[in-house]
Amino acid sequence: MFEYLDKSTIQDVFPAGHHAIQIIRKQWDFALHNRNEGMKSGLSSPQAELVDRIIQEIETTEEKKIEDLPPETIDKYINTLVERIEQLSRQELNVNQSVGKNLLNQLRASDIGSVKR
Amino acid sequence: MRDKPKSLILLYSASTWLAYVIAERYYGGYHYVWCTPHFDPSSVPSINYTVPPSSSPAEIYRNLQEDVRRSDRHSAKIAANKAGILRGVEFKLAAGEITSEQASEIASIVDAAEPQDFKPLIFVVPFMLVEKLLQPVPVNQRAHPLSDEFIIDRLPREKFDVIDFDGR
Repeated sequence: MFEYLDKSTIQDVFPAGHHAIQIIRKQWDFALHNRNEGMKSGLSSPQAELVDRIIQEIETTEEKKIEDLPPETIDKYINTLVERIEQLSRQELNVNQSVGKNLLNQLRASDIGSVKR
Repeated sequence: MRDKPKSLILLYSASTWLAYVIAERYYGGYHYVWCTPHFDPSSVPSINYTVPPSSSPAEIYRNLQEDVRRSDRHSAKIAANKAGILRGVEFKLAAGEITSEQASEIASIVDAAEPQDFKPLIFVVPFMLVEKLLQPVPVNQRAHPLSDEFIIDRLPREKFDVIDFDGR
């Protein structure tokens, strides 16, 4: 599912993925209910096309509108979508998990991490 | 809907520990904040409350806290927060505000993060300090067409307080 995202760039997938997640979580009510004018606002043309494909793929698979999907189904698609986004992040941003763990440990131990001012 | 109301005292926003520390470390202490004057639906007469309960800072906090408490590795709320952080990385990279090495570091941190790193935080923002920084959320991105929601795209750390209920 969402395989076409692998062939795109982070410049398009990250904004489109985030945008689509807000819509399918029903956080952006207007965009969901006013698809033509609301769904693609603020996105470039390739990004808007990706949002359309994501929403259409979910609705075609489920044979239901996003508005009619139960929360557990929505959660499943969000997780699948974010897995794709993370996969692209690993490829294009040279993710190194051991570097990430070290940096994370530093942040956890720092004043920043304790949320002190 | 009030575009820039004149009589507010505080604005509230729900964030995560990971998003907070990344902004502090990599974005110069400037935070991207989505905020509302209404913390909790129960504190406002329902006729005046237009933010759907599921989008209120209080409810976002409670839901995320529950997933973190259960160390839920399949939490869609945590997944959505990861997507938001990565979307921010792409934006900062394209704007030239971070280097590709820094983008790689942030993506590596997100990749290595555990559920507890997405512990929710509440930002409390005095309206008077940020009035000029407020941008109304575009209507297509609101939880409700009439809701009071604002974006501050570069909120400096000295202009808000952070509530960390379990004091990590």
